[in-house]
Amino acid sequence: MQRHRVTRRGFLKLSGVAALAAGGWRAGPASAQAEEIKIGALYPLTGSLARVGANMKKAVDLAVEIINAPHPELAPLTLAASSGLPRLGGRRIRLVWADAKDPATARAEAERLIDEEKVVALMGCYASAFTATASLAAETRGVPFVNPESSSPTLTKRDFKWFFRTGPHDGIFTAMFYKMFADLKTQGRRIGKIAILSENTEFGASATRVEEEMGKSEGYQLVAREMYTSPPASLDAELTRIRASAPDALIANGYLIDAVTTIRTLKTMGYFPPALVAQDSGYVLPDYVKDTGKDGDYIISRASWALGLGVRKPLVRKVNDVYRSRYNEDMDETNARSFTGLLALADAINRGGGTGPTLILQGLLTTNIPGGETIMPWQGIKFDKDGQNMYAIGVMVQLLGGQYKVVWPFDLAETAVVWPAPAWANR
Amino acid sequence: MTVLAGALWAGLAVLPAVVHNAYFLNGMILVFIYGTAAQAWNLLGGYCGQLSFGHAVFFGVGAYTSTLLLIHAGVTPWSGMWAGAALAALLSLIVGYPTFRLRRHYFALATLALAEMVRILFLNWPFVGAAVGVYLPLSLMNRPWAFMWNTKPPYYEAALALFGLACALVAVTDRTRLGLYLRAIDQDEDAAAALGIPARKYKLLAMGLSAALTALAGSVFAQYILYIDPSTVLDPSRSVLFAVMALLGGRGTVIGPALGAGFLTLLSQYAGGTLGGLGRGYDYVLYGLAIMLVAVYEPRGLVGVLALLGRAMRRGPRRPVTTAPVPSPGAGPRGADPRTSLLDVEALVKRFGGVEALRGVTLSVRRGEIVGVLGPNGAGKSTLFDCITGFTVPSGGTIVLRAGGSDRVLAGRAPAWIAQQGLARTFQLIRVFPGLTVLENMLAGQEHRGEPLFHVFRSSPREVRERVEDLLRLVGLEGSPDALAGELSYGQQKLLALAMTLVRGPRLVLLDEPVAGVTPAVIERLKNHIRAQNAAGVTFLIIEHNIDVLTELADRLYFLADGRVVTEGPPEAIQRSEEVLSLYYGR
Amino acid sequence: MDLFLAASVNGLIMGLVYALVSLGLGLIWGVMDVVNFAHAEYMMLAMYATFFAGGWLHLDPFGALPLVALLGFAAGVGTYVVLIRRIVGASMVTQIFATFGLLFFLRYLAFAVFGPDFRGITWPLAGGSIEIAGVPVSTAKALAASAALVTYAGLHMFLQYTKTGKALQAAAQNPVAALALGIEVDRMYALAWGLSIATAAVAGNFLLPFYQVSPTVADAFLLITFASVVLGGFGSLLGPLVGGVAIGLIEGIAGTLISPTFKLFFVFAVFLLVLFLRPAGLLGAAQR
Repeated sequence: MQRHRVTRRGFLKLSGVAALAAGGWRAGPASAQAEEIKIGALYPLTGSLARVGANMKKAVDLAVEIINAPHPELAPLTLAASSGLPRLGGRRIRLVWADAKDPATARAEAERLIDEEKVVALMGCYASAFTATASLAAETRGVPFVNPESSSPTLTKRDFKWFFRTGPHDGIFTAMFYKMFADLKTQGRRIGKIAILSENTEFGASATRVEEEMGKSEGYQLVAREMYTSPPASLDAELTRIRASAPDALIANGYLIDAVTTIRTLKTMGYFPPALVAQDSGYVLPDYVKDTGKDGDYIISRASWALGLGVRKPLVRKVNDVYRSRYNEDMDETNARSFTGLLALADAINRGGGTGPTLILQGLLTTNIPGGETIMPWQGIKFDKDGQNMYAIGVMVQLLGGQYKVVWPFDLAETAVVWPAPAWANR
Repeated sequence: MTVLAGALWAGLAVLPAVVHNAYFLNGMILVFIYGTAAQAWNLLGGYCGQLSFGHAVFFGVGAYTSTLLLIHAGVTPWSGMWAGAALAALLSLIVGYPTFRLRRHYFALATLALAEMVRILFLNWPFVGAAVGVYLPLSLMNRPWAFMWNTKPPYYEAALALFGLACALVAVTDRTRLGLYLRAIDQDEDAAAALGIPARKYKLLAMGLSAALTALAGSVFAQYILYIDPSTVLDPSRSVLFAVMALLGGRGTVIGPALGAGFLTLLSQYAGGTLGGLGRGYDYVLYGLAIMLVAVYEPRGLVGVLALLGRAMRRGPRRPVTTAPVPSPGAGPRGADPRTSLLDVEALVKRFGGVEALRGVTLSVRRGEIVGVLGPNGAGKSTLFDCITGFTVPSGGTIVLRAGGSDRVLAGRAPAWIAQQGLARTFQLIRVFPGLTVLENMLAGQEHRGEPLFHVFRSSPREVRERVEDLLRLVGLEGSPDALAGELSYGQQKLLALAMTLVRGPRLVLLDEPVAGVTPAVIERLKNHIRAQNAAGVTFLIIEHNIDVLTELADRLYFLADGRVVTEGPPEAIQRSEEVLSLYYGR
Repeated sequence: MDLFLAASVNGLIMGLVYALVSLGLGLIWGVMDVVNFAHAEYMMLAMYATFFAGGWLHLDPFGALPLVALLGFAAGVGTYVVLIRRIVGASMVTQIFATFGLLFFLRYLAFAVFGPDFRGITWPLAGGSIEIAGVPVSTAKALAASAALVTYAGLHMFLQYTKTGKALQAAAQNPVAALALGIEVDRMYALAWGLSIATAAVAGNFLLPFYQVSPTVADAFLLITFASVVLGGFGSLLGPLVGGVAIGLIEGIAGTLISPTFKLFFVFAVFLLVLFLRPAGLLGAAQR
């Protein structure tokens, strides 16, 4: 089937339709350089998530460029030093972008990329709901799907054969929260009452579910749980109730505008909880820092990545420098995951030794990238039987003076955590 | 037309055997699913003019019902979808009953708000997966009973079948009485009620069918996408999508919504790749522009555009509508029977806030009479008519129709019910249905009383058609049954309005200024018609300013001033009355 | 009790903000019986205008106000001349359809031009908070609430005490009679649109200091503004004001004391109740 399709494309080529992607059916190193390996990239490029989508596109584009051209200065980053994929005769990677703006479109575009663009693998789609349907298309067609960013735990509980997630999910992240709380309690801080403020779509709702369950099993008391529809016209009611419940820590799951509104409302109320702990998203975007100014300080967030990791891991800084020289801004914790996801996929294709789906699958199943070859705070990349990267974890960062500083785990920390956060008057 | 539709249908059905491109088939499946919902919306919003911005609720109810039944009870979606349809229909009736009291923008706004409330409920309801949504069990993949395949053609055929059902239902509606009544209600609900059309009953019927169809589409959508959550199936943008498809394609037509669904879905799939792929959403800017252009220049949508193109290519200007001359019936024997009264109004009072429009009017009309009501402006004549025909609820007094041995109290009843008791009326400002043809206007006036609901899915009976033909011939409009009523001359519209009231053979006809504003020639004709009908047994109650016309026609006159009956008697006596002269002519 | 007070004060302030956004919608609705679905989109555009006035001309929202309001007025008149005038006598379906298309057009035009980013400003003057009845309220929100009152008062005086304002009311009540009296109804309609969109612009101008703008920002306000106008009733400017405040209070109090998740549920429930029981609105019934 695969062969037949390729041959037909070859025939089209002979009639002069396309020149660049020529000769997939011809073997041999002479043409190998010319034929690019097509990977489908499904991200929200329009709609309300378009901004995040654009950021991820930048990082993934950069990753492809690093793979395709020799970058010895970035060693030991996966596939950086060589040009193209060495085990495939230096073949280059080409991304085919598609707009995954809602679940139905995500699936249709995934099918199109597989059936018409003949991509050998897919990656995407950031929003868990979009990833859910797009990966379905890949699963039924037997094409590998690598997901770097979606955090819904359900995604790797579906018994899918072709689905792999390089990044952590909410369960892993939330477990981090409570591990950090436990560590802080041993330092003598009193943490017993938890409140949750969450937006109410797939992201916020599934995160809330995990936070609540895990918190209860860890013996915390949930004193408030407020869900709202994003974007909220105001968060007065929610935060008034939370203040009245006097939590030791407020866990927040919200998008950018929610985060900014939260901080502004808190400031107006003259109230700040001892700690505001966020599931990244709105709280870790550059625009959050820009729009809240110094009022945004002292929030703590989970992060898969932080520039501060560069203190202990020079590779992080080096890659970010390249990114910065290209886009005039720093990588963020979302697109660092996308970046790493593409490298992991390319590594699997490389080790698999071919572009056939089973070869790539084999490559993914045997993936074992040491942490030192990534820009992540991970011990490495290795998939468990569900396709989840068993080493994926994150760090906790705190925004201090407009900079996200790694504050946990303590052995990776750049600086000590500020807990409780100072009252507004003392800032 | 039917043959053509059948051929098209067969062509579409065998398409997957020829075209294997999954992306294309995906587009077509979505066209069929959305097209079904757009047709459903069209039944209510297109034919009936009730704009719903909440159809996502029915779509979602269908999707969730079949999915949850499958997951929790192992019910095959082939049955589950019908359960969803029934549930959606029930919900729509509960919602529709109070909402249909609302007119104009309010209905649209109420549906918007209701949809939002349902969405908030689902977002926070753990049983339905709350905001996280529901994954269909993939372990059932490729089991036909589970309505789940990993290939496109089965979905394609199922969606096509559903779409066919939707189109057929709309086509049947379009050709039968239901479509006629719904369009009449859309154009002028009061005028429809005055003809005895039970507007709310038909609106509820349209809404129930519409909701059920939308729910079926929702079920198939859920089975196709295999994942549902409130932001996919209950989102307001979904409601908007269905409405825009029907509106852009051409509401109130059979092919419009199908065209709209095809156009928008495929444009979004293919142009979205080029326009939307730029990350800027230019495609939506174009939608917005297209919607505005259609609204301003061609409210009939794409269908209208196509029709205009077709007409421009085919033929020249329309020929004007002419009225054939009518033979005068002459002054036949009058059927006035002084002994039995038909309508008794006693001590009728109507207050508007602090103003008393009627201050105890007592009046009776006997079987076979022509009774005139005369009076200066503001005397309360039209208010009297509105009270009798149910358009206004009286503040006091009684109105009794003595019909066929049993008395019926009219005060406070709904206009359509009153009309069904054998009363018919015209309005001071003509209220024919301007967008319906002359023939359709006449057919809208047929008897509605005791009509079983399912009869509206049939065409008008032959005897009604024959009677309509007779009446059209009588008023001289038989030559132009297909002309739009709105394109007739003023006089012709008056003739049509009179003829419409006569279709169902009413006992009593109330005419509100029948000859105002028409030429002397038409006045003569109207007078002849009234006389002829009266001779045939129809009783008339006529408001008229033209005292000469009333004198000629009426057996008795009532003179109203300032909300009271000033005097009553034969025309000659009234004309001589000093009181009347002073009040009327200021002498 | 303290919670109740805080909820009431916050609700009142937000209610006035809703009223400010709804005033112009109510004006057009009352004058022409046209529901402008795109009303809140103009507010969105005004937020961008204020944003860029700050970036390019270094004007703070006070400084930008005259400019933004003027632009709003021009946009309103322009919209009337280009689009609305053509659908004045048309069916309700056509009218809804047309302004709906306008909504799509403006929103995605903004998307095409400005991209999906959220943009906000920091305005030191409004960065703090003030106390109302002991409840701290953001200065920026308090300013917007005051703007609602000032705008209402200004419009009210214009309609009641100027010749043009009275002519506008006459045109609203009976266009045919107004025409007979020599009032140019067409110009009055254009004026109403200008005023309506100008108030939307004022709303956007005062919203930006505490609410970030993006092309879809109107979503948070669209239904609430409809509800405000319907709840308050037509025919007077007081309607949207009362309706907006009522919604702010319901949202604030029910949200704080019962459940924030369902705060909009309560708002829409009350909206529907009023619609079914008293279609003329709270004030509309009282005025009869």
